[in-house]
Amino acid sequence: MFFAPLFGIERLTAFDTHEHPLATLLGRNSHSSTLHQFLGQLERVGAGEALVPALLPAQAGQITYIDGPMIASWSRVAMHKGQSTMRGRIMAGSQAVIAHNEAGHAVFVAYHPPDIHWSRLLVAYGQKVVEATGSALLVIDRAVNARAMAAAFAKQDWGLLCLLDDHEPRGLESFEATSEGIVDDGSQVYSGPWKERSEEDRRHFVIVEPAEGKPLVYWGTPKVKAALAPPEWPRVYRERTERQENSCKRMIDHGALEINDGRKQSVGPDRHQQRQREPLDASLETAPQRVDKKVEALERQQAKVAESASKGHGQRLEQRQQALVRVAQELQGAQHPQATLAHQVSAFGAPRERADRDFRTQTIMTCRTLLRENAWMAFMAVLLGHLQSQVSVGCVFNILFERSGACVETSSESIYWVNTAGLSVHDRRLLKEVVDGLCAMDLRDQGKPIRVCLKDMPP
Amino acid sequence: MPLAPTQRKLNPPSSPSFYAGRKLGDVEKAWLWTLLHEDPQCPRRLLLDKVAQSHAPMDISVRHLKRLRGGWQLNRPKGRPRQAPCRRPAASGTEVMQMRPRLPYVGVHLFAQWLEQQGAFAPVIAQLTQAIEAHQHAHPGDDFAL
Repeated sequence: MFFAPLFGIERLTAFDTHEHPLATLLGRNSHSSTLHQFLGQLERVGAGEALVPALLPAQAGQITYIDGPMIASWSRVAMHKGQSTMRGRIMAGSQAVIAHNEAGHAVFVAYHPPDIHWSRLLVAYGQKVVEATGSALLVIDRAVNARAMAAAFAKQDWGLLCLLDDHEPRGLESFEATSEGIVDDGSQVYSGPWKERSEEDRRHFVIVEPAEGKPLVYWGTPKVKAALAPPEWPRVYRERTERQENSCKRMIDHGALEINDGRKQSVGPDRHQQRQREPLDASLETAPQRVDKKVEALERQQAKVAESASKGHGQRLEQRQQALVRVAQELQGAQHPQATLAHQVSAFGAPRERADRDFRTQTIMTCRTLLRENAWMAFMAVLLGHLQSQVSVGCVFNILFERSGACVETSSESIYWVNTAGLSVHDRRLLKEVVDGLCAMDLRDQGKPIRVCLKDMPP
Repeated sequence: MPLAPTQRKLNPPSSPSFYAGRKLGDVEKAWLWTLLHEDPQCPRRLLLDKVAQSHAPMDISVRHLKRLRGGWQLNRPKGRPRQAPCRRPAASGTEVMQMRPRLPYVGVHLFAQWLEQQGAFAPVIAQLTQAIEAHQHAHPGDDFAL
C-alpha cells in the first residue's frame, strides 16, 4: 500500500486489475481483498493516530505551515456538506488539515467534516500541532480577521501569521503604519497596529505595497512579531506556498491524496438544520420581550394622551396622539415578525439527521501518503545533492519512477538498467545525470552495492 | 559455400531454424558487457563457460561475441594470453543469482532499496507494534490477525 500510488494504483481494488511489480518489489503479491482485511485490522488498532508520530522529523522546526485539501465524496445518504472543490461546489466529503515544517515535511494531519470551516477548529488543532512538534509558530493559508483567534493564540503564547481579509482595510490609512524599508521585489513594507484598535486586539500588521496592484496585509500575534522582523513576513508566507502547496499538488498527482478510503458513516444531528435554526430560535426567544416593551410603551403613551385630554391640551394632545399611533404601529410590527419567526421555526419540523464520514481509514491512508512523500523528499534531497544541474523534483519523478528497466543480481553486486526508449536528447542527458547520482548515493541491496546504468547501450 | 567457417555454439538450440537469426536482447548484451568489463582480456572460451554456467544462459555464437567485443572495444590483442589465465567461473564472484529482464517502475525499486537501507520503516513498525500491543492488551479475547 505504501508504494501503490507510485505504480498508478490509487484504490485498493486496482490491485486486482492493474499490472504492478509488487512481486518483484516485495517478493509477494496481494489482492485487494487481503489488503482490505489488513486495512480493517489497522483501523481496529487505531493505526491512524498511531502513525502520526512517525511523521515527525528528528529535529523540530521553528515554523509550521497549515493547509489541506477538501476531498469531495459522493453518497446517497444525506451528509454534511461544505465547499469541497475548487469550482465551489457544495458537497459532502472530508477536510484534511495537514501541517508541514520549514523543510516541506508533513508533520501532522487531522480530518474534519467539510461543513465546519477549519479556522473554527484552528485553536484545538494548533494545540495538537504544538504538542506534537514543539513548534509554536503557525502560518495558515487563509485570509482571516478574527481578533478572537488572535487573542486565543496570544493567550497560549503561540504565533499565528496569516493574511488579512481584503475587505477589511482601506489602504494604509487604516493602520498606524511606519515604513520598514523596501524588499527585494521593490515593494515597500510598512508595519504597525490597527488605527482604531480595541484593547483586546492583539494583532500586529505588516503591509506590503507593491509598485502596481493592491497592497497585501499580513497579521500576526505578538509571538510572530518577536520571532520575525516585519520584512520577513511576506517571505515566510510565500515559502508556505512553495513548500506546502507544491507538496500537496505532488501528493494529489502521485500520492492518491484526494482518494476517499473507507465507506463507514456515522449518523448524527443535522448541523445544517441546527445552524439555520439557531438565529431564528434566538430571535424567537427575544421576540416576546420586544413585544412586552412595545406594549409598555403603548400603555405609557395612552396614559399621556388621556392626561392631555383631561387637562384640555391642544397642540400637545395632537402630538401625543401622533406618537400613540407610531407606537401602536411599532407594536404591530413587533408582533408580526414573531408570528413569521414562529412559522419559520415550525417549518423546520422535527430535528433531522445527517451522516458524517468515519475518517479512521482515510487517516491511515493519508498518513501512508505523507510518510511516502516525506521519504521521497529525503531521497530527493540526497539525490539532488549529487547532481550538477538544477532539476525540479517533479521532473526527476517522471523521468525516473515511471521508467521500466532490468535488473541482474550477481553474488557481488546488483545492476539496474533504466530503459531510455523514447527519451529526448535532453531528457536522456538528464536521466544519465540522475543515474550517475544514484550510483554516487552508494545504494546497497542486502549489503551488496547497487550499480545503475542506462539500458539503451552498455554504459 | 559459407563465407565464414562454422564455429562452435554453446547450448545448441532445439529448433535451429528458428534460433539461427535470433538477436541478443539488451539485458543479455548488458550482462555480457558486465562480464567483459570485469575482465577485458578474458579469452572467449572462458567467457562462454561463464555464460553457460550462469543462471540465465544465452545462445551466442563466437562470431557474434567477437563482433560485440569489437564494437565495445573490449577485444583481446591477438595471440596467446601472456598473463595468468582467468579464474574458472566456479570461483568467480560474478555468478548471476537472479535476472529480471523486464522490471517496470525501476526507479521505485531503487527508492525502495534506499528506504530499506535508511531504515525508514523502523519508526512506522515501532508505532504500529505499540498500537497492536495496546489493542491486544485492551481486548485479550479478540481474534486478531495482525
